[in-house]
Parts: sequence; C-alpha cells; structure tokens
Amino acid sequence: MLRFILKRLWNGGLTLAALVTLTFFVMRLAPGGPFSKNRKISPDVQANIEAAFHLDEPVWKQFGRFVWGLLHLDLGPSTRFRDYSVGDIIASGLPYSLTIGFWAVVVASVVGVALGIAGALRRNGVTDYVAGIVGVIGIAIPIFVIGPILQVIFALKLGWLPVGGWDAGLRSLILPVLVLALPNIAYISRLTRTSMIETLRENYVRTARAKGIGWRRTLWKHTLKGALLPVVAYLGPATAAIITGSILIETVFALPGIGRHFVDAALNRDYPLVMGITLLYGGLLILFNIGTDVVRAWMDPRLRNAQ
Amino acid sequence: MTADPLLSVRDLTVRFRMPEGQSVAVDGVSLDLAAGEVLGIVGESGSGKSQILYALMGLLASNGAVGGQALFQDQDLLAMTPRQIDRVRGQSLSMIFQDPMTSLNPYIRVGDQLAEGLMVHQGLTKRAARAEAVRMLDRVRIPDAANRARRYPHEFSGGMRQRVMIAMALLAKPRLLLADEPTTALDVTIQAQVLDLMAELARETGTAIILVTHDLGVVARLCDRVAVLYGGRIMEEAPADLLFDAPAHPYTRGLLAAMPRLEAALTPRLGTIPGTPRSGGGDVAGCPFVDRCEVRLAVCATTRPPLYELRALGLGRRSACHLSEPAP
Repeated sequence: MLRFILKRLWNGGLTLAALVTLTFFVMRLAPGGPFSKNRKISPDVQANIEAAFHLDEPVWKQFGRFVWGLLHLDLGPSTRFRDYSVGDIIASGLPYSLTIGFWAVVVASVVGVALGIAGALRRNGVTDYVAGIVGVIGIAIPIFVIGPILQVIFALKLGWLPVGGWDAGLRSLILPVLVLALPNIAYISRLTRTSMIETLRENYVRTARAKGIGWRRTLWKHTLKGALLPVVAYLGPATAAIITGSILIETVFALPGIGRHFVDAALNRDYPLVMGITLLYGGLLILFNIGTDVVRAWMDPRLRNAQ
Repeated sequence: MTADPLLSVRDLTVRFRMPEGQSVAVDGVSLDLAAGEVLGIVGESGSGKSQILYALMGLLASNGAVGGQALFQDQDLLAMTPRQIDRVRGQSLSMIFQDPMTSLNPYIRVGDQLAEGLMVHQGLTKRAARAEAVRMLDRVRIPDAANRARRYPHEFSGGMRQRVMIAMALLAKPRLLLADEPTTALDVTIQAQVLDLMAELARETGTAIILVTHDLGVVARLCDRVAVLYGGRIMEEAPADLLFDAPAHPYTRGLLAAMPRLEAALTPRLGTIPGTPRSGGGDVAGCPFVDRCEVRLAVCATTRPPLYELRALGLGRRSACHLSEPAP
C-alpha cells in the first residue's frame, strides 16, 4: 500500500510539473502583460517596473527563475497587489475556501447518501420523489440563481442569516455551504440510489438473505460497501472541484476566499499569482484523486492486487 | 410417500407480474420429500424449476407472487413472516446457487462470510465461529484452509468458490439443502467432483437435497427420485432408476432420446423434441406439452391431465398424461 501511495505521489508530481510548465508558457503567449493596462506611464518607468519583476528577461530565463523560486517554496511577489507575495495572498484566502468547501462536501455526502439510500429502499415512495425533485432542482438551477434567491428569503425577508460576508461566525457559513452543497447533494443522491438498487440485485446480496442473517445485517454488512464504491470514486474529484469551484459562491456571498483571486489574476495577467493558484488547484486535485484511490483500495480487495 | 415427510409441497404456484400481463412460472406443483432423500428436479430452461426453490426460500423477485402450501417440519414456509423465515433459512434450510463467481460477497473474507451465520444463529463468538468455518472449509477440501479463510473470494477458482458455497450451506447442518444447478457454471472436469462432495457431506449430516438441474447424467448419478418439470408443471415423477429404464410420459421419453448414450455412439444424430419450449405465459387449459407432443389426443388441448399414480409401473410413479390414465 505504501509503495502504491509513493508511486502515485511521484506520478502526481510529474503531472503537476507538466501542468505548471504548460500554464507558464500559455500565460506568456496571451497578449498583454501585467502592466500594459495601467494608465499611461513613461517608457522609462515602464521599463523600470518590468525590470523589477524580471519581465525584461527572455522567457526561458524567467521560467528558470520561477522553478528556482518554487524549489525554495517561494512563488514570488504578486504584480497586482504590491507588497504582497503570492504565498501571502493564498495563505489569507485559502482558509475561507477550505472551510466552506469542507463543510459543503460533508453536507453533500451525508445528505446525498442518506437520500439515495432512502430512495433506493423505498422506490417510488414519498422520500424517493422528494429526493428526485431536490435532485433536479440542484442540478438544473445554477449557483448564481439559487444563491440570490436564498439570500432574499433567509437574509432579507426573514432576517435569520446574513446576506454575505464572514462576520456572523457560523451563521455566515450556512447559506454558502448550502448553495455549494446543493448540486452535489443532487448528484450524489442520484448516484447512490442507482448504485444501491443495482447492488441489491447482486447475487451475493441474495446469498446473504439466504443465510437468514436478517434484513438489517444484509443491508449494512453486505450491500452498503459495494453500493458506496462509485460514490467514493465520485467524491475525490468532486471535493477538489468543490473547494476550487467556490469562485461563484465567494462572489455571490462576498467572501474573502481564494476563488475570486483566480479570475482577477488571469484577467490582470498577474503571472505569479496565476501560477500559484494553478499549482494549488492542480495539487489539490491530484491529492484528492490519490486519496480516493487509497480509500477505494481499502474498501475493495480486488483493487488491491491490481495495483 | 412417507408417513411423515420432511417437506410437503401442495399446489405451489409462482406468478410474476410482467408489463405484458401475468406470467405463470410454477403451476400447481406438489412434492413430498423424506428426511435424507435426494430429489432431482429436471427440466429445460424456463420450465420453472429454479423458481420452485426460490419460492421455498422466500427469495422470489419482488414482482413474484406465490400460492399454495409448503410444510417444512410442520410449518408452512410460504406463510412465514420475514423474521420466521430468517430463522429457518439460517438453521434448517440452506441453498446453493447457480453462479459461484457472483454469489460470494467480494468485499468480505471467505472465513468471515462462513462464520457470519453461526454468529447470528447460534450465538458463537467470532473466534469460535471462525474456527468452525475453517473446519468446514477443510471438509470441502480447500487446501490450507486456515490461511485460505483469510482470503477474499476473487482469490479462489470457480470450483473452489462453489465448494465454499457448499461449506456455507452445510455449516449449520440443515435438514434440507436446495441446490440450484450448482455446477452449470463450472468446468466439466470438476462438475462431478463438486457434486459428489455435496452429496457425500449431505449424507453424513443426514441432509435431504432438492437438486435442480437440466443434466440427466447428474440425476442418474445422485438422485433417489426425479420430478420432470415442463411449463411449470410436473410431467412425471419416479424413482431415478425406474425413470431411465421406463419413462412413462412422452416428454420424458423425448428428453431421454435427446441424451447421448454410449451404446448409441454410432447413430449419427441425437433425438430432438420438435418445437420450442414454452415458458411462463398465461394459464393453459390443457397439457402444456400438447404442441410438441407426438402422441397427442384431442383431449390434450382442452383438458389438463391430472398426475396419475402408475401403480402398475412401480411404487411412487406418477405421470401427467392422458395416456397414463389407468384403466377403470
């Protein structure tokens, strides 16, 4: 198992290196630069600024400088937010994004799996229909629609929760987490339901019933594991996507997370910040994928030998 | 047949609700089984033979409905609550399934799958149950049973998995074992070996067997008595040796003619039964075999033949054919 993890980490590192290299050069290929949008400044000043950020050097040399910095865990200074290093910016925003993302994943998994199992056990019952409706709503309505609707209802009309921001402690978490979790609740509940129904039809579940060990034990010991494997496989990449995909949420709810920096950085050609966030998102995705594979191998003995 | 049978099935019917209407899989089957007896149920695919076993186990698909009565140790299996049937399943009634490759749980160690029933039904500790499981694996000739018990099903070959299934089924020393084509999924070379093992262990524990198969060779080898099923009904019932020597029903004769025989190795073709087997469908007024029967009478299409006792041909022989009607 350890060898497997190390091997996956090594492969992940290679993937990340490729991703970073590609992003570096694609960014340079895009027209414009970090300081081309500024109001008119004299060519001398422009040259001075570019020299300060080493933008006057040839691209291969800049790349070498970037890699050298990376090896020293230094992502360099942001070209847009003066006096802040990329590391500072990420460190200030990441905790918010991680907190929201973590709770959204927890809520989505627990509620999604519960709804899915309930739906599979009582097919075409009330719970199943309610879960189905929630599913359609969650998948079909985008975040920037459902977010403001919930804001109007719970913040403006009822006044129970803050409209946005981070000042109200736990209460300011509720709406963003809910909105971020909703599409995933929908997807996970559908996935769990289908998988559960399929597993219940498996021959080995019939064997378990034939042993007369009781319905509850048949369900918990013999059905759940197989039914949840596809859900786990989905959860890994989904977790990375939820944490990194909170850009819209952070905008709608005015949260000081990291997502909004990503878009800004790309638009402003803030090369170092783009590189930093790309590295972060890529790393998260790879880590969660490895985590998923480890959990699945732990759940399914057949996967262990294949590795 | 015996004064106090272990299992007494009366007028068992199994129907399935289908999109296109009701389908009758088992149509008024009655059977008796004595303790320790081996009964074979033979028939073509779709004759309803497996559904009889599923009905007895309470494992019919959710669109299936069962009728009739099945007294097992003086209790009606078909009228039990889920809790009651669970108690019977784990202790005195076991089943071996057709496909050993998919019938074991891939996520649970083989030893633990065996031990589970003992822990639930006999209140054994995990340790005691595991030891018992290893002993049983040893008896079904799994080499190095103690280590093998800690392995997962995918690390076993098909034949070994079916032996594990047999071990699991016989672990509780059941009074009756239901075996649904236990060897069809296995290589021909190990089929006999697995069957002999099953029969041998059942004999040791005094367990009766109902063996569902379409293999007449298996029947000849293992069974005391045979019931031939067609279209969900019993066509003929007889002691195994008598059935092969002197089949009474036209369908049985057709089946036997279609079986390769050593002494007939020089005949260029095997016999066939014309037409296609009926399966399911609605109720039929007459004999289900009428369309394919070579000796049919006018009455066969309109009147259902009862299962006549054939006293003249020997004890315990029955045939559902108008031609078998005893002279008054």
